[in-house]
Amino acid sequence: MTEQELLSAATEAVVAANEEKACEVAREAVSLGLDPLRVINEGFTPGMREVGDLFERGTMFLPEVILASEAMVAAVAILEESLPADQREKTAGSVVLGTIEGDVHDIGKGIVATLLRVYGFEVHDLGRDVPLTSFVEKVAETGADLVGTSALMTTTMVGQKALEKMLKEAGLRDQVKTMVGGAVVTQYWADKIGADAYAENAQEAVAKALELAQG
Amino acid sequence: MPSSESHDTDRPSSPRWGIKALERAELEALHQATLHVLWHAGVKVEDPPAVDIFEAAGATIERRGTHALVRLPASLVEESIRSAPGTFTLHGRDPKHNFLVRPGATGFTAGYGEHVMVIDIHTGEVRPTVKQDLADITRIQDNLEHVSFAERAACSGDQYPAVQAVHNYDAMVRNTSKHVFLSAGGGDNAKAIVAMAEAVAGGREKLRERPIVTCLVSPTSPLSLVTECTSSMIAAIEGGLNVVFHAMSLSGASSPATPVGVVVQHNAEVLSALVLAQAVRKGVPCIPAFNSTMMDLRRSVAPIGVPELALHGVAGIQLMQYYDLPTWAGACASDSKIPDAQQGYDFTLTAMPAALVGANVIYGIGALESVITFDYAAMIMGAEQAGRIKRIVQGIDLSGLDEAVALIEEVGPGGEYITHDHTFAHMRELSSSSIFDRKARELWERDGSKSAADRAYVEARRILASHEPAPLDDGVTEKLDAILAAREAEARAATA
Ligand code: HCB
Repeated sequence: MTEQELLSAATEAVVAANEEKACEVAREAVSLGLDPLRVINEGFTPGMREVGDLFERGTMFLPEVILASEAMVAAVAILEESLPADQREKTAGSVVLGTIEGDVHDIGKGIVATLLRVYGFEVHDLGRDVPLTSFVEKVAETGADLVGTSALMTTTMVGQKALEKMLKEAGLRDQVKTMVGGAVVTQYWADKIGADAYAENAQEAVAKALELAQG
Repeated sequence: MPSSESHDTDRPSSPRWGIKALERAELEALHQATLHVLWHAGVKVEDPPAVDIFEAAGATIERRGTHALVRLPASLVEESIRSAPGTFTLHGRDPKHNFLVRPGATGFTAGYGEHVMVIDIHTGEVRPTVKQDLADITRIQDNLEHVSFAERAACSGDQYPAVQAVHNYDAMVRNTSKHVFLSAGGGDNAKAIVAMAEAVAGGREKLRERPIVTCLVSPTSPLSLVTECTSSMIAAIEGGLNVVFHAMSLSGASSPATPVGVVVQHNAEVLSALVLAQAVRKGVPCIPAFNSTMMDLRRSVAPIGVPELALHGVAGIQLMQYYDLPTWAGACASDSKIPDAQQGYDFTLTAMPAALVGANVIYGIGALESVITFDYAAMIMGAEQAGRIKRIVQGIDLSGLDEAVALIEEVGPGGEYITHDHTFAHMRELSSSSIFDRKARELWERDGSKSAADRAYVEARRILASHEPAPLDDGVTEKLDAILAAREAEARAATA
C-alpha cells in the first residue's frame, strides 16, 4: 500500500464506520513507519468530517455517526501510542450538560451529549430533572469550559435564567460559557437571559461549543 | 340535527366498521411479552410514597437511593386490568355533553397535549401561547360539533411557571361545559385543580359522582414513573378524578426501533401506571393512551405525522380492547409548519386508523410542527374531517337491504331517484360540508377563490366573536379566583 492509498483507506474505514478496518489501517501505518500525525490529520480526520457532512445532509443515521467516531477513536489510540505525550490530541473542551429541574425531556440532551463526545469533548452528563445547584457544583468541581442546559417546557426554561444568576453569585460566570437549547428555547430567550449561545439542534450545539471552547 | 354526542352515546354498542389487525393469539403473545418485561426488567419509580403503594399492592421492590426498581408479578398486573372499568362516563360540566366511554364509541378533541406556540388568529404571527389563547381555543372547542371533550391545547405561558397548569384549568373551565382533560404538573397543582373542580361541580361529593375533569400523566420511556407523574396521579385519584396514561416513546431513541418492541414496552409502561392507579383506588377509570412515535435518526427530530404512530396505536388499542379497557389514540397531528396539504395528509394518515380501530378518545386536532404549534384553521378543518371519519366507522346499515332491493326493482333500468319518497326519507343522512369545498368552480371564484384554510380562519374568528359558553353557577368564579391565588402564593413562597 502506498502512503496515499493508506490515507484513503483510513478515510474510508471511518466513513464505513468499520472499527476493525480502521485499526488495521492504523497498525499498518505504524509498521510502515509513517508519521502518525499525518495519518490522523490527512487520513482519519477527513473521514470524520465527511461523516459530519453526511449526517448534516440527512443521509447518515445518528447510530452510524457514533460507530464511525468509535472507529476513529480506536484507530487514533493506536497511532498515538507512538507519539510523545505532548503531541497527542487534546480534548476539544469540557462540558457540563443536563436537563433543568422539573423537566424530564432528556432525549435531545442525550443526543447533544453523544455528538459532543463524537467531536472530542469531555462531557459530564448530569441527566434529567437536575437541580440548579448540581450544575453549579459540577462546574466548580470540573472547571468545565461550558455548561449546556436543556429545557423543553415553558415551566422549566426559567431555570436557565436562574442558573445564569447562580453562576454569577458563585463567581464562576467569568470562567464558564453557557449554552441553552430545547424545543421551547429560542435565540431571543438566550439573548434575554444573557446566555453565551443558543443551539437549535445537536449539530449546531457542537459548532457553538467548538466556537465557545476556543474563544 | 343530532349532535355527535347523542350519536355516540345513544347508539347501542354495535359491531362497527374497523381494523382488526391482530389475532387473539397474537394479542396474547404481546400480553405475555409485556408481563415478562414488567417482571424481569421492572419499572423505575422515583417517589417514595408511590413505591410504598406498589409494595403494599404486592410488587417486589429494590430500593436504590434516588429511586426503586419495582417488579410487577403477572397476577398483580392481571388483577389490576380486571379491576379497571371499560365502560364509564366522561362527565361534562353540562350533562348534555356527557360522553359514555364504551366499546364502539369514538370522540375527538383538539390539541396534542399542551402547545407552546400558536399561529395568531388575527395577525398570522407565530408566537408563544398565553392564557387567553387557551381560553379562546377552548371556547371554540366548546362550540364544535365533532369535538366531544376539551383537551388543554395550549399552555398559559404568561403565568407563573410553577402554577401554569392551574391557570390552564381556570381558563378551560370558564370556557367550556364539555369534559376537560389536562395535566397537573405535580401533586400540589393537582390538589388545587381538584378544589376548583369541586367548586364548579357543587362540592366534594358532587365531583366524586360526576368527575368533570380528567388528569393526564406521563410515564417516561423507557419504563420509568417519575415523581411528577405519580404525585399528580395519586392526588388526582384521591380527589375523585379519573386518569389518562400518556406515554410517548420515540422508536429508536427511548424505545426499540421496531414496532413490535415499541408496543410491548409502551404496554408495560401504561400497565405499570394502571397498577399504581388501581392500588390507590380500586375501580378508578383509567385511559391508557398510545402516543409513541419515532425518532428520525437522520435529522434528530421527533416527527408525529408518521406511519409508525398509527402502527403503534392500532396494535396498542387492540391490546387494550383485548383487556376490556378504554382507549386513547394520539393522532391528527402534523409536522408541517402551516395548515397546508401536508397537514391534511398527516392528519388523516393517523386519524383514520385510530378511528377504524375504535379508539374511544382521539386527540391532536389542530396540532402542527411536531406538536409544538397550534393552529386555528387546522382545528376547524380537523373537526370537520373528524365528522367525516366518524361517518365511515359507523359503516353501512344492512337492515335496509330488502327495502333497497324493492326500490331498485321499482325504479328499474333508466329511472331516477331524486323524486322518490325513499330519497326524501334518507337524504339528510348523506354527508354535507361546511369548510371543505364542493362548489362549482364559478361559485368558488365568485366567493374569492379561497383555500379551505382561509375559510377556516374566518370560521374560527366567527365562533370566537359569537359563541358564549354556558356560564358557571353564581359565586363560582370568585371561588376559582381564590383557590388559584392561594395556590400561586404558596408556590411563590416555596421558591422564594
Ligand atoms: C417525547 C416527549 C415530548 N414532549 Co413532553 N414528553 C415527552 C416524553 C419525554 C421522554 C424523555 N425521556 O425525554 C414524555 C415523558 C412522554 C413527556 C412528558 C411530558 N411532556 C409534557 C408536555 C406538556 C410537553 N411536552 C413537549 C415538550 C413534547 C415534545 C414536543 C416536541 N416536538 O418537542 C415531545 C413530543 C418530543 C421531545 C423530544 O424528545 N424531541 C426530540 C429531541 C431530539 O428534540 P429536542 O429535545 O428539542 O432536542 C434537540 C434540540 O432542542 C437541541 N437541544 C436540546 N437540548 C439542548 C441543550 C443545549 O445546550 C443545546 C441544544 C439542545 O438538540 C437536540 C437534538 O437535535 C410539548 C411541547 C408537547 C405538547 N404539545 O404537549 C409539551 C410542552 C409544554 C410546555 N408547557 O412547555 C407533559 C406535561 C405531558 C402531559 N402530561 O401533558 C410531561 C411533562 C414531563 C416533565 N415534567 O418534564
